[in-house]
Amino acid sequence: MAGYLEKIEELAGQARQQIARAVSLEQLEQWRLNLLGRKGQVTAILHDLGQVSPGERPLVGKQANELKNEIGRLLEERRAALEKEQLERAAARSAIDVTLPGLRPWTGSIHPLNRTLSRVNEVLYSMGFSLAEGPEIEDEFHNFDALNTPADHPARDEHDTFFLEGGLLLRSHTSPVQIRHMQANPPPVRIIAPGRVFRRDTPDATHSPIFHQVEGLYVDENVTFGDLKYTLEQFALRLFGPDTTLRFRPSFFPFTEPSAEVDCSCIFCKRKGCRICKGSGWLEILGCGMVDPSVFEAVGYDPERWTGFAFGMGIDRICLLVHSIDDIRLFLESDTGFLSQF
Amino acid sequence: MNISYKWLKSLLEFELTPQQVAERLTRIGHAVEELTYLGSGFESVLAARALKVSKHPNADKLKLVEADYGATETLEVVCGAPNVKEGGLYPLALSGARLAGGMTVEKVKIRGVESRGMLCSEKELGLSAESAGLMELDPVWKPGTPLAEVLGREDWMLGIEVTANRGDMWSHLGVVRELQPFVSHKLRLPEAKPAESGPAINELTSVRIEDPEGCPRYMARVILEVKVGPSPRWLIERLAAVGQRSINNVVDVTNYILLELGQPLHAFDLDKLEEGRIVVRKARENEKIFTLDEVERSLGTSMTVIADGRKPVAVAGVMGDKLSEVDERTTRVLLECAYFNPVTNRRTARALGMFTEASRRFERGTDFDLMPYAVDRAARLIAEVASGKVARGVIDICPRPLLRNEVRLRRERVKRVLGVDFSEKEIEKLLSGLDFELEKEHKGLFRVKVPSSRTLDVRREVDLIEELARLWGYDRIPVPRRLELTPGTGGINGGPEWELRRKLAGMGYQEVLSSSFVDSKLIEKIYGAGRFEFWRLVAPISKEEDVLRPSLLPMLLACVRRNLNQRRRDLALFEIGNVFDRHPGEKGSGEQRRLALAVTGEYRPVHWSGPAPRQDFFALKGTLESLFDWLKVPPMRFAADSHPVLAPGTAASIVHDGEKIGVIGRLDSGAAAEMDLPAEICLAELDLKPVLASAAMPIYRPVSQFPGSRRDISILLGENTSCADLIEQVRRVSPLVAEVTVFDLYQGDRIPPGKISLALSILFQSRERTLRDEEVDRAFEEISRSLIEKFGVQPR
Repeated sequence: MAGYLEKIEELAGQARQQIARAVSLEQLEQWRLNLLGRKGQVTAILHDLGQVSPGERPLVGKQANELKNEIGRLLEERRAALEKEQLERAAARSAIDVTLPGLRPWTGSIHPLNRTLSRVNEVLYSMGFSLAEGPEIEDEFHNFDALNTPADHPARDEHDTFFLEGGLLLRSHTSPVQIRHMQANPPPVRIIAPGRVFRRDTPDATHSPIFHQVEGLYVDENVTFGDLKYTLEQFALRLFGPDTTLRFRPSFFPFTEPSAEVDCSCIFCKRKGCRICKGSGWLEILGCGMVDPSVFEAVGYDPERWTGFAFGMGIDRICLLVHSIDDIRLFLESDTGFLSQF
Repeated sequence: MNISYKWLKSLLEFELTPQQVAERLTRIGHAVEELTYLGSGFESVLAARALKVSKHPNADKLKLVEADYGATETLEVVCGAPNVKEGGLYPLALSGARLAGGMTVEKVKIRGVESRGMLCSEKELGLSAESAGLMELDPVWKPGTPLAEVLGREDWMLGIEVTANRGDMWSHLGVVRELQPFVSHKLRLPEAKPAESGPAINELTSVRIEDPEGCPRYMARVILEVKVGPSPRWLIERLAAVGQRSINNVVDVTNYILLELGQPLHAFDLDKLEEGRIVVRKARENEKIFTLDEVERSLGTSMTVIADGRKPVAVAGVMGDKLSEVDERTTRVLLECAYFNPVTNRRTARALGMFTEASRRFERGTDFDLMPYAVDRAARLIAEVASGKVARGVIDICPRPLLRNEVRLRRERVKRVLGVDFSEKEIEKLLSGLDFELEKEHKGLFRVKVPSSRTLDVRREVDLIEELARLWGYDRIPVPRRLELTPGTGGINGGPEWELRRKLAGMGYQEVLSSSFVDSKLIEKIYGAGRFEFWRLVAPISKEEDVLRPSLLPMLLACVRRNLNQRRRDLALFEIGNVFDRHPGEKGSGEQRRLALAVTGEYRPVHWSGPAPRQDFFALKGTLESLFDWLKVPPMRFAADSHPVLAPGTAASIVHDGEKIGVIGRLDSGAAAEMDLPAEICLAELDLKPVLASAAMPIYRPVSQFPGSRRDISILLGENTSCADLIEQVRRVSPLVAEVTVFDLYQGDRIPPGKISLALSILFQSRERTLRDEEVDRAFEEISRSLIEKFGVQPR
């Protein structure tokens, strides 16, 4: 009997070592067959139990079964470990360099002027202004006469206008859109008119014969200059941020009275004075005023009943300011090196 | 308008500094854009008298000068100038002075003697380019007087931006009037009445007005025994302070009055006037005049001229002629002081292209009631500076008196426009500060008499309201915060056009904006003559920008070229903008909003994973198809077509609802050569209006829950059948077809020449049920049969 127990003991030691040393699943399977297979060593012992004396049989049987269970457990553990190793090796083989560049489409963008215009439109829309549009080819009536700028008025000098053969002209501001809108719609009115405008300026870093404006018009009963100030203050706060303040200076436009130039606290230095605002702390951004009664007369509104205000700004100028661009000519040059930065 | 601070002070007593004047003027609407100290470069330079001149102990050519510069002690300086004399007055720069000539003066030892300042030449002071010795000053000045004062440069120049409505601000008097509300003193005009002597003016000359519309009033005076010569120092300095050059004493006085009072004057040499008289009349057709700028000009019958007994001697209110000009031999001066009609004056100046200091003021309206004062003061000054005698009397012909405006002003209206509830007292105080005369008609209503200097500008109630607003201060107008600033209608940013922009940018396209002006010659070269009816500019900036663009494509190609020249080979650009073609049949101006696209190079950036496809016709077409899909516009048809800038066989028109709304294709090699471009550029252009108008709100349809079934078919297609026809037929035959995809195309040796092999994959699917195989097979067979019948194509 002692022979059996010793044999079991010896087999256990041998099996533990073999299983621990197995380096592949195939080898492990081989050991499993050698130990637990039909002709395996453990199987053989269990098979031989009949030859053990009945007194010893329970003990030997117990030991042999325990050995069988232990080997089964060790085999299972080793197999799991080997499988994990195998997976890890496979993963290592198929790993990618995650720092390689990705597969990109081309990146396009919206023109900086339209980007700025879109922002201005959004702000004014949020304040109740709806979009109105008109043609770029205009007539003298809509561009000048209806806007209290009759022929022979010195104010026409400031709009050196492009005339077309046949007497029409290219609009020198977006104000004719206001006239067209008022002619077609009764008051009250709350519109913005964005678009391209033309003046015969010699091109340089701050002048272009083609530029872009947005104008706003608000007509109702009891609209005052105070309402104009409120509206533009709100506009500036929403466009440039919460610390923005405005300064209104008297000025002259034929189609508004009283008229004002509006300066905005410098968006870069917050009025401390910098290169952009030339040390003044202020940036000139807007022209505005109360709609002149003669404009109302021209479109058939009763100037005694209705009052209103209008304002206008150059999108090019605001875009130059906001993005620190130093030359207005870049806008129409279509260099993608410039455009793709926006 | 350049304004001298000192000049203002000579007309109105005030304590404001130049900076304060600039601030006040800007606040009430006269933006001061420039404020220059004229004495800069002369700080720490004083007039000094040489009390004693002695030899330098260690140098032969140098002298020691003991100078009195107004201080209790004298100063010893070393001086090398040959012209220094005892008793002479010279500019002395004290140590620390930075001279305009570039030098900084310091205390130095010269040959062992300390020099504590420097006597200066004109060159060292930056007053002239060369100078022989010290600058010699008029000995009447007291030692210690700042040089700036001696030179009349103790002054500031204010550059004022004058708005188009304010003709009166083109003068010092106009500016002074605007300053009155800020100071306690009243304006005081200098005495103007001249001492008269000799013959009466009517014995010397006469004035007749034959054009009262063009010249409502004409005044004249005659000054005799005039000696034309240089102006006195004060006059030269006054003119210099506002940047004007002195010409001679008579002309300088007329310029002086123009700048001070805003009244343009003209001085004629009375002896050069034929028959010695003045006739104001319309010019005759093609009448000639040789103007002061030495150009012979041809006049028209709408222009007013000043003539003598025979011929025009001046274009009224614009410029005089050379022949009657005052020169050094002149002794008798006829001085003209007139009011010319602003409108005819402006038309004349425009027609002749002559914008002068005089016409600038006349076209904006001069001060009718100030004329008697202006003519007197000018005559008196000419007599004074040219030692002449003013003849007795003044001619004043006034066929059309210009009355001062009277305007009613309602207090209630002021409140309605400004939102400020002024008291009647405040209204009176504000307006009378600017010389408006108010008379209370009844409660809340004033009758306001407007000063004659503002006749053209203040005509209506609202003009007075503006005066109140600016005098009160825009910053003091309260902000009511009562408007409801709720969102507008029509959608943020005006809807689909902006969505289109964002979508295209997202698809990798760069938006560009290009000029609306193009070269008609280039367009005709690449499109052929007569394709467009151009809108031509009357006066283009250059001859390459002579017409409005009839299409976006030429400028877009120019953008492509510009970027190719920068070695950017891969481009995907788009532009949205208006084009103009006045082709017959077009209603109105033929203005149209369009979208144009251009692509070249590779479809995506270079990548290590392999080469990218080229940007070609189908890449561009795919972009448009995606856009249309996404806008939910009804399907567009692409139909083979021809187009002048697109290569034959690669051009298509885009058809929407039976209308041709656009083109797409590859750039033609001829046009490419003309524009110096490679031909591998694909272009498209389409009218936006029909596309955006048919853009629809997406409508939900339930997604099919039932699996589809695919069948593939390969077809040999002849020359006259297009892929679109094929697909249309497939869809038409069976309602079970959910999708048709072209997944392969073959042209080559394995099939007959001229044929194309197309492989289609057809998806059969129903929304209601799972299709049975037999159903699908039957539909597929039907499709195959119909394709053979219809097109004679063979399934392979």
